[in-house]
Amino acid sequence: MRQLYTPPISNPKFDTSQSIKESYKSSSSLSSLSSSLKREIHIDETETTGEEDVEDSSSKESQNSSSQVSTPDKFEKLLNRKDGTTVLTQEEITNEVTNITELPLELSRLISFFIDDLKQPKYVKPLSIIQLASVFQSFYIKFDKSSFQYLTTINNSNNNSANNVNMNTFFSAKETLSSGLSGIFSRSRSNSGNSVTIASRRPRRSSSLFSTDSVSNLNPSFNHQLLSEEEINRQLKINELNNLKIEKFMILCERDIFKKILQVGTSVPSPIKNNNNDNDKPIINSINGQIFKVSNLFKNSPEFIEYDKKLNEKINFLNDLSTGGRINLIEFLDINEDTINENKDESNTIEKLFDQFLLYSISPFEKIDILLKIHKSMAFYSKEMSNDEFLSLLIFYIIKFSLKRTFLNAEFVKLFRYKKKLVENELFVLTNVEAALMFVEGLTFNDFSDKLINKLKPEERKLLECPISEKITLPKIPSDCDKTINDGTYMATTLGSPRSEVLRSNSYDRFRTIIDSSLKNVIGKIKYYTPPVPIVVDEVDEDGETTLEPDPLLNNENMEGLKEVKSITVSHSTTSLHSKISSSSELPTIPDVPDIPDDWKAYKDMNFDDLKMSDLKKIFDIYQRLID
Amino acid sequence: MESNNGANEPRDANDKEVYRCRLKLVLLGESSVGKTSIVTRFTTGKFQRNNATIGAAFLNKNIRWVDEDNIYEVDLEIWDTAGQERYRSLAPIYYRNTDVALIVFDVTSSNTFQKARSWVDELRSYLDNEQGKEIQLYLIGNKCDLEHESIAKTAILDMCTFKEVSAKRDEGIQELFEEIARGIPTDKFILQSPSNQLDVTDNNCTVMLKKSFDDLSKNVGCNYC
Repeated sequence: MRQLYTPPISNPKFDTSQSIKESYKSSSSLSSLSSSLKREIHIDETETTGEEDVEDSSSKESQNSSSQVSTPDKFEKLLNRKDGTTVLTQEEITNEVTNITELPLELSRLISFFIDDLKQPKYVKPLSIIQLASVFQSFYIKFDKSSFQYLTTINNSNNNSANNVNMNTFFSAKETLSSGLSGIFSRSRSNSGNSVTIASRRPRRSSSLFSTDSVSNLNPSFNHQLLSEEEINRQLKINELNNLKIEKFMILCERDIFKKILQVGTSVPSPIKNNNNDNDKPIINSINGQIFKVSNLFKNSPEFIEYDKKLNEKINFLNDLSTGGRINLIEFLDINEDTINENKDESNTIEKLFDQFLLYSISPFEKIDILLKIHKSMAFYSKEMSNDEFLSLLIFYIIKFSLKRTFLNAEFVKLFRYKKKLVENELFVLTNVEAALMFVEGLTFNDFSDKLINKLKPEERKLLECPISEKITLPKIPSDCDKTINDGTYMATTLGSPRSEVLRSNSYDRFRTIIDSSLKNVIGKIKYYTPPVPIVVDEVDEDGETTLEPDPLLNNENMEGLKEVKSITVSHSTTSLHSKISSSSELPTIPDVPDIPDDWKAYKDMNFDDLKMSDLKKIFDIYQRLID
Repeated sequence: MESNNGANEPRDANDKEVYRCRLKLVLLGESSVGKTSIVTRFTTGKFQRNNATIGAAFLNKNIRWVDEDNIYEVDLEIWDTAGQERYRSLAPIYYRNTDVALIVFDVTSSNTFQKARSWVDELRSYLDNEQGKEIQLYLIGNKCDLEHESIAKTAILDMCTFKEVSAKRDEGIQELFEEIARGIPTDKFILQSPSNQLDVTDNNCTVMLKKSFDDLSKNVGCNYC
C-alpha cells in the first residue's frame, strides 16, 4: 500500500508539493537504502546483545534456526561491530563517560530535593529499613528517568543548533519523532503496553526514528529524504553514549546521596572516627574525618542490628578457635593450604578489599564493585573456580579476618543498590556473601567434634547452641521486591503500602483511622503536621500547598538558565495517601502546562498513516501551544 | 494490501521482530559430578578451562535463533552452586527466582543419582510452597562417555526432563542448552523495539521514557519495558 510522504512537522521550510511527488514516486530506487538502513539496525541489535561472532541472520535462517552462543562483553560489544565499523572508540567512551566525575547541576538538584524530603517529619513512626529502601528505590527510578530526559533534552538542544547551521534533516526528524506530538499521541496512555509479549503484541507506533514501524513500515522515500547511513550511525553512537552516561549518572547518584547523608548525618551519635592512614582509600570515603557507618541506617530496625551483633560475636569466636589452634579452619573448610600459603599477597589484597568494603566505601555501587574485585582476586586459588571454592574461601576470609558488620553491609547493598542494576554478576557475588554469612550463622555443635565441644566454656557453648536465625527473625523483604532484585524490573508501587501505613497526614480521615486503630498511638505519636518547607521551596500558600520549583529538564528553553521555570503545585493536604506519597517523594518530571488545548487527545487513537495534512497542521498547532 | 498467500510466506530476516528473554539457570548436584565442566564446555567449547572473570561460578551466554516469523534471543545467566554437602542448606539462596534448574549427577555413581533425586524433591517442595513460581527442571546424567549401568530413573522422569551428556567428549551439551532455550514459554519473551520510546500518561503529564534494548536494562539507564 502506498503511503503518503509525510514531512517532518517541525520543518517549516518543507515544500508540500514535494510531498505529493515523493509520495507517488517509485520506491524501487530507494529500496537498497531502506534495506541497508534495516540491516544497520539489525546489526546494532545483535551487537548490543553481545553477539560477537554471529552469522548473518539470513544464513542462519537458511539453516533453519541454528543457535549460537557468545560471551557478552559490555565494552567490546560497544566498540566493535559486526561489519567492522566502530561504533564507539575507547577514547570516546573515556572522553564522554569516564571523565564524568560529577553530576550535572540539574540532576544534582534532584538529590538535594530527595535528601530534603527525607528530613521532613511526615511519617507517624520511623521508617523501617525496608520501608526506607523502598523510598530510595522510588527515587532511583525517578532519577533514572530524569537522567534520560536530561540527556534527551541536551541532545535535542544540540541538534537544534546543528539544524540551524547545517539544516540537517535528520535532526529535524529526530526531534519531531522523539519529542514531538506524533510520538506523544501515538503512544499508549498507560504503561501496560511497555512490554509486548508474543501473546499480546499489537501494532503500535513508536515515537522513535529507529523503531520497527518507523523503519519498516514507512515509505522508503521518507527514509531516503531524512536519513543516511552516516546519520544513523551518528545517532546510534549518541544513543549508546547516552546509555553509558545514564549508567554513570546512576553510579554518581548513589555516591552523592550517601555522601550527602554522611554530611548531614542521620540523627544518631557521631560516626566513628577514621584513624586509618591508608592512602589507598578513596577520598570520598572520608568526609571531615567521618566514615560512613551503615549501621546508622538500620537503627530503626533493631533486629538487623541484633542479628549483626550476634553474627559478629560468632565470627569472633570462630576466629578465636582458629587462632588458638582449637580448630584447623583450612581443614574445616576443605581448603588447599599450600595454595593459600603460596599466595599470601593475594590474601593481603583481599583483606584490604574487605576493609574497603566494610569501612572505606560509601555507596552501594562502590561496595558491590569491591565485592566483585574480591571475587576476582580469589581466582588465584584455582583455574576453574567453581562456587565450592568461592564459598569456602569467602567463609575462610570472613573468619580469618574477623570481619565485622559484613552482614549489615551486605544488607545495605541489597536494599540500597538500584535494583535494576543489582543483577547478573553483581547479584551473584552478593548472594555468595549472603550464603557465606548464612553458613557461619548456622554453625552449631553438630558441625564440630565432640572433643572440641566438651572443652568449650559455657559462654562459648552458648554461641553454638543454635543458628542465629532461630533466635532472631529478620523481617522478610516483600516478595515483589525480592523478585525485582533478580529480574531488575523493580516497581516502586508494590512497596507503597508499608509507606502509606506510616505516612503522616493532617487530614481528618487519617486521624480517624489512627484513632480507630489505637487511641494510645494517637496520643503518643501523632502530632499536627505542618507541611514541610524544603530548601528548594519558593513559597508556601496559605491553603497548605507548597509551590516547588519544577523540573527544568524537559524544558528545552530553560536548560541553561534554569530561571524562567514554570511552577508546579504539590498538595500536602490531600486525603489520598497515595497521592501524598507521590507528592512527597516524587520529583516533578514535567512542568504543569497551564494552557493545554482540550483537543490534544483527539489524535491519540489514530495511526500516523491515516493523518491528513489538515490533521498534521492541527497537531502542529497543539504542539506549538504546548511548547509555548 | 498483503495477500493471504503473502501472509504465510516467511518474512525476510530484516523484517523479523526480535524477541528476547533473560533466563536464570542454576546448576545443582553433588561435588565432582561435572557441573562446572558442563558449563565450561558450553561456554568455552573446552573441557575444564575457562576465561571468565568469576571463574565458572557465574557466566552469561546468549543463544539466538531464527524461525519463519521472528528472531529469538535468550540471555542465559548461569549460576553455579556449591556441591559439598556442608553447603546444601544454602542452595535455596541460589535457586530462588530461577527459571531453570539443571540437577546434575554422575551416571557412574548411583549415590550422586540419589542426591539428584533429593534435589528434585526439594525443588518440587519449593515450588509447592512458592505459589506462582515456575522452574523448568532438567535431570542431567553427566559422564555418559564412561561405562555405566542404566539407572532406574523412571520414578522422577515425570517431574523433570532427563538428558545424558558428556562434558568431556562434548556430547549433548550444546543440544541441551538449545533445548532449554527453545523450551521457554513464548509469553516470557519480550518484543524488542530497536528504539528509544516515549510514552505519555495524559492524566498527570508525566513523561515515561523508555529504552529499547532490553539488555540495556542491566548496563544502562532507563528501561521501563
